[in-house]
Amino acid sequence: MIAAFMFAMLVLGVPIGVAFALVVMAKADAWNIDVSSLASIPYDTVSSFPLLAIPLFLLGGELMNRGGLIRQLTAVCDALLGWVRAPLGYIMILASALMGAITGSSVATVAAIGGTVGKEMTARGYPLGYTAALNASAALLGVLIPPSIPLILYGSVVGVSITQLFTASIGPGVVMMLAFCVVHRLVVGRVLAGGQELKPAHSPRQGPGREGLAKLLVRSIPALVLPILVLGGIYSGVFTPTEAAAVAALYALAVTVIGRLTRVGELPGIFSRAAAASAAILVIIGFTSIFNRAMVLEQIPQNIATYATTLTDSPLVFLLVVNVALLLIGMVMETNAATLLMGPLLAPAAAKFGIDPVHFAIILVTNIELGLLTPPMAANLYVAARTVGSNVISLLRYLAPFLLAAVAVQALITYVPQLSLWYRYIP
Amino acid sequence: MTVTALETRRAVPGGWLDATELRIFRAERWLCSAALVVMLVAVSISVVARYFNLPIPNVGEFATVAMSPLAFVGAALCTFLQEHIAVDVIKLVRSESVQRVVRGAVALSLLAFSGVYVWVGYTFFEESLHSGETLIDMGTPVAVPVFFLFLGMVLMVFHAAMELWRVMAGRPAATLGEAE
Repeated sequence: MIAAFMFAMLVLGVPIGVAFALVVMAKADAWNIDVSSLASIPYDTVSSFPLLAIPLFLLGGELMNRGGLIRQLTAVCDALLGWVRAPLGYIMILASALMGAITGSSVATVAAIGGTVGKEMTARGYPLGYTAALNASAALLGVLIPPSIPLILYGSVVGVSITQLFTASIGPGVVMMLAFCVVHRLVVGRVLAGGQELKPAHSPRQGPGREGLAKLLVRSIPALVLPILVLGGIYSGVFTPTEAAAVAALYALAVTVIGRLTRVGELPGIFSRAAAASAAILVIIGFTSIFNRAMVLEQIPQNIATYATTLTDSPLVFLLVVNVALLLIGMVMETNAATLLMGPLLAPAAAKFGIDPVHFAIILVTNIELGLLTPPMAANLYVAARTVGSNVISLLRYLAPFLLAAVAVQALITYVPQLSLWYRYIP
Repeated sequence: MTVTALETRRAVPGGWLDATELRIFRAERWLCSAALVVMLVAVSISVVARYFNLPIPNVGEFATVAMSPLAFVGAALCTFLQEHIAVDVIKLVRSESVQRVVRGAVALSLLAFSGVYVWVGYTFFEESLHSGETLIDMGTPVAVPVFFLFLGMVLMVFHAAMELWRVMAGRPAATLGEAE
C-alpha cells in the first residue's frame, strides 16, 4: 500500500525528497518516528561539512562554464587530438572527463560539453542523435572522474573516506573513457557520411601548428590548472574534498574576474544559478534522510543483509543481483536520491559478504549512474537532447553501443576489484 | 537542473499576489546566493588559516550554518521555479487536462508537506531558542540555522498555495516578470 502511494507520487512528478518525506509522515506512528525528528533529521543531515562540497563544486563549474574556461579546455583537446580520424568524438569524451574533474556532476557535464563541443560536432556533419547520444554517455565520466557528487554523498551517509572513494574511481573512470573511445572508433564510419568529418567553411580544420599549440596551451593554463589544483590538493593531503571545492570555486572566480572573462555584473546570476541547482540536490539529501532513518529504525538494511545471506553465500551472485536491482532502480530514480537510499540499505549486506566498502561504493554509484542513460528517469538523455537540439527518439537509435560499453565496464568494475582498489597495490 | 528558467521565463500579467510572490522570489534568490558566498568565504578562510597556521578560529562553522538557508529557503525557491528534481515521466502526456490535474496534485502534496513542516519546524525552532544551545567553534546559536528551516517552509507553503490557486483559476505556472 505504502509502496503504491510512493510510486503514484513519483509518477505524478511530486519532488523526490517531498515524496519520501510524505511517506514517512503517513507512516510515522507505525515506524516509531517521533514527529519532532521530522525537522531535526533533515537539518542535521544538510548541516554537514562534507556536503558543502556540492554547492561549491557546482559554483566552480558554473563559473568555469560562464567564463568560457570550458571552451578553452575543449580547444586544447581539439589541438591535441586534431590529427586522428573523426577527432570531435574523442574531444567530447576527453572534455567530459576534464569537466568531470571540475564539477563532479554528470548532468552539469552534459550541459557544458553539449553546448560547446556538441554544436561543433553538428557543424561537422555528425547526426544530431549521435552527438546527443555521445554527449549523454560521455557525461557519465562527470561522476566517475573525481571529484564526484554521488561519491561524496555515499561517503558521508555510509561513513567511507571520500578521498579513498575519489582515488578508487580513477581506474574505472579511465577504463570507461577508453571504452567510449573504442565505441566511437568502431561506429563513426557508419555515422558520418564518407566516414570523415566535414570541414565547415566558417571554421576550417587546420592544426594550430607547433607555435599555435604552444600559444593555445599558454592561454589555457588557467583552465588546465584547475583539475590539477583540485585533485592534487586532495591527494597530497593539503585539502579535504570540501576545501578543494572552495579553492576550485575561488580560483574559477579569480580567473574569470581578473581575466575579464565575465563581467562583475553577471556574477549574481552565476551565483543564483549555482544556488538553485544546489538547493534542488540538498532538498533530496535532506528529506530522503528521514526515510533512511525510518529504514534503519525498522532494521531494513539488516534484514536485507540477513535475507541476502540466506539466498546465497556467494559474493559473486550477490553482486550480480545487486547489479540488476540497481540498474532497475537507476531507471526510475534520480542518481543522488538512489545513492542516498540504496547506499545505507545495501552496504551492511555487502560487508557481510566480505566486499570491500570502497569497492562496493564504486559498484553502487557506477551502477546507479547507468540509470542516467536508461529511461524513464534518464536525465543525461533528456538534457543532452535539449542541449544538442536532437529529439530523444533519434538519440536512442545511437545509444545502444555506448550503453553496452558502459554495462561491460560496470561488469569489469564489479568482478575485478583491483580496478577500483589499485591504489592499495602501490607500495 | 540548470537554472536556465531564470533567463527564459517571461511574465504573465498578474495581480498584487503575483507581484508579491515575485518579490519574495527575489529575496529568496538573494538569500541563497548570499549563503553560497558565505560558504565560499568561510571555507576559504579556514583553509588559509590552517595552511599558514594563523590564529583564526574555525569560521568553517559559518559555512555549515549557511547550508540551512541554501537548502530550506532554496526548497521554496525551487518550488517557485519548478526546479525540484522529480520523475518527469507524466510530462510526456500531452493532454492539457491531465497536466492540469497533475499540477494540482503536485501543488497539493507540496502544500501538505510544507504545512506539516511549518509546524514541526516552528516547534524545533522554539526548542532550540529556549535551550540556548550554540555551535562549538564560533558559538552561533543553533536557533539561527533552524530558523531558516521554518522560514523556508513558510515560503514554500506560500508558493505551493499560489500554484494551487493558479491551477484552480486555469492559469499557467508561475513565471518571472519582464523585469527579470
